[in-house]
Amino acid sequence: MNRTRFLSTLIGIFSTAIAIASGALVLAGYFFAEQADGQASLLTNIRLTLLQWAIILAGFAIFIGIFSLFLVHFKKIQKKEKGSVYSILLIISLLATFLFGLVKPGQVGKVFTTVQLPVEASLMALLTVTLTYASIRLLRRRLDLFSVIFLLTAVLILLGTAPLPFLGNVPGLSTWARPFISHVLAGAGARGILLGMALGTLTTGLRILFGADRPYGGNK
Amino acid sequence: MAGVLCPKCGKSNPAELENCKYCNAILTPNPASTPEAVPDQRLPLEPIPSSSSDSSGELPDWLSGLGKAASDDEEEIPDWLTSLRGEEASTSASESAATLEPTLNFTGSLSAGPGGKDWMARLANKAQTETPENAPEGGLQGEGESLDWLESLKSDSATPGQADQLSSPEDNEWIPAWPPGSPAGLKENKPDSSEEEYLPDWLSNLKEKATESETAPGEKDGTSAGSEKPGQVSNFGSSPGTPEAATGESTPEWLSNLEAKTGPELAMPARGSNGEIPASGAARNGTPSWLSQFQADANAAAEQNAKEERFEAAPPAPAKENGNGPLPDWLAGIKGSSTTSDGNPALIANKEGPAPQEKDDEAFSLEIPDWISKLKPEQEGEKIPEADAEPATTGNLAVSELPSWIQAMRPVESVVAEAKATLHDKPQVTEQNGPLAGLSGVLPVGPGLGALSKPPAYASTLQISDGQQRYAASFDRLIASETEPQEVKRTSLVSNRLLRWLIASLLILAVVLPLITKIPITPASTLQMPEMVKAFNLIDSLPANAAVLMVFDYDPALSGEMEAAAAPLMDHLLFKGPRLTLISTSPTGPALAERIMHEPNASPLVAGHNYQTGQQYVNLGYLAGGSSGVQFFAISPEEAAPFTMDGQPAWQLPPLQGIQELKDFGAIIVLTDNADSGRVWIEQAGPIIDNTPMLMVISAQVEPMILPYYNSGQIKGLVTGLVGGLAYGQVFLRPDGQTGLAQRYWNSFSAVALVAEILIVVGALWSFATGWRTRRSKAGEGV
Amino acid sequence: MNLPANFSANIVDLITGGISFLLTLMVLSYLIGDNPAFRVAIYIFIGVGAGYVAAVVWHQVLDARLIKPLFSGSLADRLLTVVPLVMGLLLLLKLSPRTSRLGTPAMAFLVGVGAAVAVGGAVMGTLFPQTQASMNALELSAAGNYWLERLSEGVIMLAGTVTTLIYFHFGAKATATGPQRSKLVRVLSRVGQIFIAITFGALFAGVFVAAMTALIERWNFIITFLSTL
Repeated sequence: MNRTRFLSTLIGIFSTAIAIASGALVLAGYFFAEQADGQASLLTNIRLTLLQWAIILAGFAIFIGIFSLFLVHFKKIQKKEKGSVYSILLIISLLATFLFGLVKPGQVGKVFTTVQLPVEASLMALLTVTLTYASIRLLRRRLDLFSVIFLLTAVLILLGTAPLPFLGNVPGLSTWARPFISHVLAGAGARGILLGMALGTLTTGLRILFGADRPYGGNK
Repeated sequence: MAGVLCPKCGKSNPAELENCKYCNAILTPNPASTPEAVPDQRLPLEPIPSSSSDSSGELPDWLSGLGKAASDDEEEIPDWLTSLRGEEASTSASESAATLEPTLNFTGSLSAGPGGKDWMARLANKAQTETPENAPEGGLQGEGESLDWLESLKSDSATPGQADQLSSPEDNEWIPAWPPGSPAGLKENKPDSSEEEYLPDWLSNLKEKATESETAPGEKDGTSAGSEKPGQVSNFGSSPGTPEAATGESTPEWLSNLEAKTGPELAMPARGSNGEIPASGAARNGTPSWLSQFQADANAAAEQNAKEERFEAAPPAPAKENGNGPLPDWLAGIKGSSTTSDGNPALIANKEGPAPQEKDDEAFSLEIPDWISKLKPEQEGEKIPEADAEPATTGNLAVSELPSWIQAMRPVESVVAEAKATLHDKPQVTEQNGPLAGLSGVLPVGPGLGALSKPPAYASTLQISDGQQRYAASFDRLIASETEPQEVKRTSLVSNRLLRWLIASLLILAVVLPLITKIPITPASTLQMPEMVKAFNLIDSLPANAAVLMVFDYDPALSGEMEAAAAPLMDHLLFKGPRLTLISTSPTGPALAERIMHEPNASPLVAGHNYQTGQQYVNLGYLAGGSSGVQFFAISPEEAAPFTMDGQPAWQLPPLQGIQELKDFGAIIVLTDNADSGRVWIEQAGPIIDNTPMLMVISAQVEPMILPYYNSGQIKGLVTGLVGGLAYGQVFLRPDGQTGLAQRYWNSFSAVALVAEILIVVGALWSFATGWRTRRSKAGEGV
Repeated sequence: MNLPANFSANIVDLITGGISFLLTLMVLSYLIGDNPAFRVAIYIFIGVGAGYVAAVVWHQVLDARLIKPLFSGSLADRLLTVVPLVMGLLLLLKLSPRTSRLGTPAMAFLVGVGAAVAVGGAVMGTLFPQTQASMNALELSAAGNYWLERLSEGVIMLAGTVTTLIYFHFGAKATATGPQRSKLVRVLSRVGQIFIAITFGALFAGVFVAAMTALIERWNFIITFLSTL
């Protein structure tokens, strides 16, 4: 029991050290990218190496995710749960596509355009009906100032974006209102959101680099 | 007849006996044969096995030692003790049992009550007029009687209530033989001088005090008995080893307090319950009268104890026994507080008359500790001094004293009845009810407090009112309804589905009709967004054969919009003959890039240029790692994407000739439908590309989030959605006049947009009115 | 019988087109209600998509950056490749709960590098430029005759940016009735909330337009396919 705990603690400390060290090296490369003669500094080379390793590990992570999807549906078939027939279809299509891609990497794109693209596009098309239905029911579910502003803005943008049949663009709406709303009002809000996101990214990143946050499972 | 003193216990035995009837020791003729041989008063009444012939071996060592010491030192018996023995022998059996009020202290040993003072006085008198020969003959009898009470104590422990039964002298063998070698001393009632050295200090002190004490009237009755056995019973005054026992000078405070409380209620057998007090010892088998009285009291006390469980007032102390057996003075002297309040030990302090009759027969019962029987209400103690004058003559049992907290628990009626039956004639207010019921002299309840009443008796069952039952029933129904599945209103489901079908039908109709009829219902847009114009200008300013990096970071779901938006720009670009480098941070990006480059259905304008991979363009494929990969590519494109999608070395191909860094490209065009992807490219590649312009072709859904970057100058040009693509196509007119998908979608686009706007506005107004009416009706119901 | 040269291609196109058509109809059938055809199309889509991604990742990441350098690269390349190989294998141990602990160092490396890249990009790519742009919004040197319009736009943009940031400030002081923000902050955050509502309304309109375009594209495909039959 003590050995296991010791090992866990050791792994946690080691992981934290790796995270801090790798992050510090990459961040340092931002500020010490070049030498005096314009050549790439050692930190830049280290940074590139670490980034390459990160790319490879990202590929591993995607592979692990797909394998996990396979395991889930495989177990579902083993247990003969409800809907396991669909899981059989999923596993068959997954294996078939993967094997076809391994054998014929240049032709696998055809499979993509034949199956994946039309289904995804169709799902996006369904969204039109859903969004229309949701915007009709919005004021019934929630009636306040912000809901009204939200819906009013959406209608104005829509009116200013698409011209009316037989009439064309609505004067004033397409030329002034819509650009003002999208560029100024919405743009101001979007800039505030972007700044907030950047500040949050900065705070969270620094907490990880200082070891205060350990989302990867290191010991506290 | 002269008796033989036991050498061991010192008690007087008949001469014809060979073994001591008390300790079964072998009796030897005592040369002195002095009736003054008084057994050592130090010895406590401890049972000694009577069956054994060799009792000496069974006696405790200390008792045996005492007996031997006594036998060896008979000449050391003090005169007072010897005289006491003589006096005891002359005591008649008609001693009043009232004088015998032995009390049991907490150790169980008897202590001489007020009557004990008599024998102490006699001891004192004897010491002064020491004439062992003058010991009355009755002393022997008295001694025998004194011994017999011990026997009766033993028998009473087995058969309570049989006060009339007297134990045989042989049963008294448990009584230690004391003093040794003086078996006749008890009868002769002569103190054995040889025992003097065995007297403890406390006993000596008692002797001293006994000279100062008065002789109580009742002492005569108990004198003989009390003087017979001063040795045995003297220890009853206190437990061995106690300071009081050692000094004999003061009664223990607890004892004095107890006796102050109990007073006349000291362990005194209920005379009334058992009728007459058993006859004196003279009428029995030689049992002293005081002992017999003691027995009778003990039996009566046992019965009274059962009555007192109801916390009734103890019956008044039994009257002084008239005609009962004489009690030794020391026992008769054992009485209540009035006798011991002065602090003197109970044995010698009480010079007063016999204490009022008490009901505390428990004192004489070996089974019931005396201290329990002494626990009487304090108010009773107040009556004790008053009752002292008459208990000897009235014969009434004294009211037992109950503690106040016990009295409070008594039933009101019994307390009230007792209160009425009190002997006190004082015109005091007796409380009728409440916690003070039965008490007199209580301050009346003040005005406003109301009359106290008997506390109501609450039933053990839960009392539920009708209202509470209704609430409980409704709550129960509420909980039961939670577990029941509610019926889904089919009307709302149907209405929702119908509404959805209606919306879908209208929208699809608005899409399909223009596509099928190809009727231009919508005039071309004349809008020229500034960002789109800038993009156009940038593309137009690119030199021929410029290296252009194109990033395909959109999903297949919005491929229709993106292809429609990007096609005019790409068509315009391809007319410049650039060297294209395609890359994507999405796994599906390379395939989408290939589609737009070659698929006529996707983009007939771009496909028409028939760009060849490896020649005019290079597809670097998928760049993993997200922002890390973009930064890697931005710093070192060759290391980040060394191969093409086909696996060929990319950086040796013509499209990438002379390209080493990102800023070597003439333009970077990012096609994205995701705000995060666009932001990543702006953040990672923007600081590195320096003057290389970055353009974006985006979906309409990310326009608000990408516009700030355009406004900040990080993006030089922007083409947004179908409208932007159409506008770009209207700006860049192809020589052959061919138009792209945007133009094909335009009529349907405007029709669907109009239908959607109408549905949204009408539906929102209807929902608003419905919701407002519902809320108003709910508010009205709430009022 | 001589078949056209592009007959096979046409056949393939016909088949693939037919499959796409069928799948499109199966997905659009959801408008009527949930049905097995829709579920079949979705599950096939997921399987094909996962398989396609796995194939792309294998070819363009693992094989190109790991396998080939490990077997045919230089010594330095091999040594440098061993580290990600080991870390990748440790990452694979994350699949099992018993051995997931051993994959923590690899995850830590990914998180550390990603955090550093994100921090650098946020600061250099968004924080500084957008702050600069907010200040430059009131610059009227290039406005010309439209200075008033430019000024008003700049003021509104600045106010919108600041109030939006204030809305996301959740610091509060302890009061008797509980933690509360100051009155000024509450008023300003209310204004920021209005700007955020406008922004979300614009985003909603953009999503709606994109969905409409997708709907048009799909029905265009259906009509085109049917017309080619």
